[in-house]
Amino acid sequence: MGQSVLRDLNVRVVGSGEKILVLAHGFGTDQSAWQRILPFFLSDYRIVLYDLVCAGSVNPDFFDFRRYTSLDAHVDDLIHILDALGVNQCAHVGHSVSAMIGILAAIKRPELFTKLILIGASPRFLNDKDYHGGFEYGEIEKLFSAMEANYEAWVNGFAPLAVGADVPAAVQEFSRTLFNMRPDISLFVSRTVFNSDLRGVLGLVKVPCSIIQTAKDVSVPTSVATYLKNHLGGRSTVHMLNVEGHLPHLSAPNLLAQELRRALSR
Amino acid sequence: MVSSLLSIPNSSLREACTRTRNNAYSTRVQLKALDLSLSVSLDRLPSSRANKVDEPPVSNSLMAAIKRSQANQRRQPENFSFYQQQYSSCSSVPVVKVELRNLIISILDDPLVSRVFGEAGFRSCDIKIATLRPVNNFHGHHLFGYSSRYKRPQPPLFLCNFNASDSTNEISMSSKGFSFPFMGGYPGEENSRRIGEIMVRDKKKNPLLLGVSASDALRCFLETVQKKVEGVLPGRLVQLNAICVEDEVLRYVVGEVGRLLQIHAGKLWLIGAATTYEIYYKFLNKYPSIEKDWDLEILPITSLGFSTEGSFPRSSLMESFVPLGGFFSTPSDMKSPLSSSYLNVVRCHLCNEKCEQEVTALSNGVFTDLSAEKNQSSFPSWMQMTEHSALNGVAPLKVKDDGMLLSAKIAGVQRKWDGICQSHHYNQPIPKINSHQLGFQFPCVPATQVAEERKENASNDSSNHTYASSTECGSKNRVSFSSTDLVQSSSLKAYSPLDVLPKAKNLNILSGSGEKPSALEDESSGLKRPLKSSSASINNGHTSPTSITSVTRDLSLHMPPPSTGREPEKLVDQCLVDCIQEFSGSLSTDNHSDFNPKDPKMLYKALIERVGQREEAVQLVVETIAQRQTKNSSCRGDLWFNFQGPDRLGKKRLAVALCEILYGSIESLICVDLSFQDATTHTDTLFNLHGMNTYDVKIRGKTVIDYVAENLSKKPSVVFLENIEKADPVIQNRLSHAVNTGRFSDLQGREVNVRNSIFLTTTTFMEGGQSLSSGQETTKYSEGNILRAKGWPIQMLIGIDLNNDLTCQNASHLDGTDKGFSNPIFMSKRKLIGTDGRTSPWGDLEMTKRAHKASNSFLDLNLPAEGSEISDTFPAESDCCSISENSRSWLEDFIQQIDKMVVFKPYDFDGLADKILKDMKECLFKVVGTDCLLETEPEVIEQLLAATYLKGCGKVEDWIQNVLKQGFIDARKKFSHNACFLVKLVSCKGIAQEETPQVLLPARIITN
Repeated sequence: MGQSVLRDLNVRVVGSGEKILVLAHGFGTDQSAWQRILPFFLSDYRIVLYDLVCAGSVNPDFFDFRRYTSLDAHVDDLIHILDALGVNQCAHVGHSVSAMIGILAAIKRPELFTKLILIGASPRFLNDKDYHGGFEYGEIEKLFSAMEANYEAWVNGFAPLAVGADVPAAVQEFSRTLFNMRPDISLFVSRTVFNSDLRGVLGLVKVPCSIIQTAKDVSVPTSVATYLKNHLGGRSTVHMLNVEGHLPHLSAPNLLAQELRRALSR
Repeated sequence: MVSSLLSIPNSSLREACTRTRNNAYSTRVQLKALDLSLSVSLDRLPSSRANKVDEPPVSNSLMAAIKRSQANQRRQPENFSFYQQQYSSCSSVPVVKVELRNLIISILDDPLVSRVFGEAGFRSCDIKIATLRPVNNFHGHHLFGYSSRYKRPQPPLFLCNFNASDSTNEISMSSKGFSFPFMGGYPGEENSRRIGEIMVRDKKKNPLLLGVSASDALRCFLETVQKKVEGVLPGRLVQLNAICVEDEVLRYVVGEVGRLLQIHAGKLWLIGAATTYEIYYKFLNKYPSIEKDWDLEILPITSLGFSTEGSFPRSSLMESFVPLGGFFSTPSDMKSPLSSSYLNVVRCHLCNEKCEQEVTALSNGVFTDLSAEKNQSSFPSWMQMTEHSALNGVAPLKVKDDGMLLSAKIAGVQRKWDGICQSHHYNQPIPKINSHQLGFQFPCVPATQVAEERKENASNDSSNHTYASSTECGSKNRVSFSSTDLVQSSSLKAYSPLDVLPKAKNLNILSGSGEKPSALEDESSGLKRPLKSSSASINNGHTSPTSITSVTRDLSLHMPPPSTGREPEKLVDQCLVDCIQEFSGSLSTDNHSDFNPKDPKMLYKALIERVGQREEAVQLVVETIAQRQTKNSSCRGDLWFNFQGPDRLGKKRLAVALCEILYGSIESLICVDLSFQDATTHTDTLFNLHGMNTYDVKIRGKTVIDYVAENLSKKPSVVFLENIEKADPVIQNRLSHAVNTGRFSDLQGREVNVRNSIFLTTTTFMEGGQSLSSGQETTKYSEGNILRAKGWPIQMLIGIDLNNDLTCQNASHLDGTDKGFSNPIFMSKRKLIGTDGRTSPWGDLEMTKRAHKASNSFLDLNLPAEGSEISDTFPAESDCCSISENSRSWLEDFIQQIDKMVVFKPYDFDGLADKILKDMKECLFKVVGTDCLLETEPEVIEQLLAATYLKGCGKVEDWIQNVLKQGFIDARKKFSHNACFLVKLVSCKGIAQEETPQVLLPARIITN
């Protein structure tokens, strides 16, 4: 591991600050998604950027279908990166799946994280008895078969939906990164994501969390944010962003940057 | 090569193909087509790499395929590949020995090939399977290996993970019949493995599974244990026996188990499972020491169990995915690779043209060859494409072409242009590179196009434009050109001069201005030279902004090129100034027919007329402008002001006036309120003028900087930045940079020349750092409140003066809308709230809420209903009211560099309020008599003050004299004046919404 993980996952460290900030992108994007957020923090933080192994910018050969069957392997990746960089403490900003990865990492290595910021996070996407995750099992299966049938068409349909706002640039950017993923990997990862359920372990998180939630998100109902807040073990706060979409860092970078700044200062 | 593989009748490839073929076509035809297209796709690119053997040339992709298969072979232990001896074929390079089967797979792995196969009706993955699976086993085991290490579920068949990627973990694709389920991993197994890992540790070795599907995971683990499946669990654990203990029993065993564990350390393990943390927590509470006693290690289980069956990535998916830009091209592309005249519809016109060109060039035998094939497998498609085009330009290689290769090349070229076109149009970050590339490779094409266009325009241009419009065009054009230059010089180092042309053209098109930029309207011959010189100066690296702009100015004004020296430049200046004068003169329709903005007195007069009363500030601004104009030639054209103090409207008015007078239209005003981040719901209900470019939060996906830069690049403007003390560090940097260098750069690093623009920044701070709010503590009517005033209808309540009767009578009415603001105590409270920062909300809903909230809590009205509960958790926003040290020091620096500081005095609202009250009372006395009392709600006063602030005193006086008086008269008619009146003016919110809130002075007064 060590240096190779840094190279394989395109780890970049930028910025001139003291504190360390990890920006972890979500499903369907890569680290370029933070491009518009980055300038706001360059002066105050040393920012660690990396690509999830499923991202289109990572050599698909590195995606081991036997290893990445659950989020834990991704968690290991993150921890490996931080260890390889010699990071002792950092704040972790995770979007969608990375938020979940952040949660798990903070359970595994609580001392490593001072703060988790969860953007568009959901402990479980499927509905359950008294839990509203936003998706029914049947819907998911439909989604998967749509992905399988024609990935391109699916991307073109899904991207505007996920971005959720009339920001063509963001839609285009998201489509690009989503499309860069190899379809089988993309499908595999989304399966992994939909099959995961973090509800039981939220209480193990002792790190303070900030949950950033947009007013309308196709993947995450607002009630999930409340659920997270109530069940996370540490001190946690919810910040509503009055914009739409699952990808505020693409569609409303200004607003999100301000919110992040505020959340980090707390 | 491949055709030979196919043509050997019992070659495995052919066999595989035959086995997997679609019955729809006859095999022969299909194979023929396949043969043809394969030869095209694999041979299309003669290798440029140094092969050890020169004859015959091996195509790159083939080479790559061979390499891959070699690597594959190496990874694969010899004894497993039992079929190795069956075919041992040599590729044309004698040194390279590859196992045929591997080679075939590698070739199939090539996305292009798989596309070809797809075209021919095969699915490359099917062929792969067929190839890998020996014939006799074909119908045999289609099994899903369960949890055995050696039959672990396979990932989808891509060569890269077909063999295990690391040597420790080899998977046999052995003689036993290769099991090839597209089944993906099995999370349950993963969990079992992790449980096992914990169990073999020395400490904390008893896992406690925690998670919704923890019991599933446990069950799965136990199954694994009972079946004694190898591979998943570490060797020591294979011989385990499992005993299940249910919850109820557990209680009794707790102590016992603890002891047992101690005794049989190393032989006994304990596995627990709990669904949620809460349950575990309860358990912990019951037995506080249990974690230690039992040596427990918590293992979060996050994946659900039910995923195991069913649809993991299947082959159809693979087929639809062809990395090499294959998604975008239409299928017809490959069907006729030999007919070069058929061009893809997907390509844009320009690319088409270039493609055609290259194809013709190709058939003439002059062809620069691509040689990037080796990168094929691992990069995303757009990257490959850039690579192609990059190498294409850099490493020209002349190849002898025989007829066979030609067609392949043509196909290659078409594909390449497809790719370029696609990446040009579909991929955001790439177009920059590509467009440069385009310009670089084919300088002649865009150049001629531009020239043509120019000719057309020139013929249209015979009519004389007025000076006025031509300056407008000129200035617009200048900016677009200089920005072009900047972009070019920053991102490219040394490109051919003609490079500028396509780029400039793009920009002009982008700017989308109604009138044609005048540069294009020039005669074509005159344009060539200045352009060249301008780009030449770019090539020199950093050039002074003046030289660039002078060049472009020459362009627009038909002046000789700048090489003649300083003289013409001055001429141009003079010319420009004249134009501006005439232009603005024609715009100001009133008496100032000979208006000259250069004349300070004129300017002052015009400004005062529009701004009113802020004489000192206006004086300062005018002086600065005049000073700058006198030493015009030597300085940069940009002016920086900082407007300090309260009186937001005054500042904005001045900005608008300056813009209108100096730039002719309000469209040149770019407004950004940098405090918008603090108060998301902050809007200027009062003075939103149409046509202004105002940045607000709704413009999403665009940062302030990009917004400003974009507008600046269109034309010189007045940039009005409010509350720069609230600027974030990014904006701070850009502003400092701009004030120092005269260039404003956006987030992508593109720089825009700010020459001839005026920057107006505002701070609410007074000179001594004294803030508005502290200064306003003693005043009754704060500017913030006034600005938020809305134009509600005004109602007149009339009662007989029996002291408290009135309030009781109207209590129900008052309560609903405004919590009795006539009460002085409440009023002071409201004032407090109002002045403690911009975050304080307004509006009906908040009004009612405000009573319950801490005064400075952040409230967002636009949250959904359940969101309000969340918003309760917002901690106090103390940090956004006070400015951080950093930005304060930045502000000081910034202000030092600014041209002029202008202090605006606070508008005297209190005095004005007194005056209005007095007027109203007088009016009442005149109508009714002195025994009437007038009570006015503060909101009404605020509304009237706002009206005064916006429209001047005269309007309000008129309103009092006409409307209010009429109201009083009506009232007197209704209530005969037999008793003492108490007349109360209230604003009735929500009553008559149909009246637009913008109207601050309602046309009539509602009486009850």
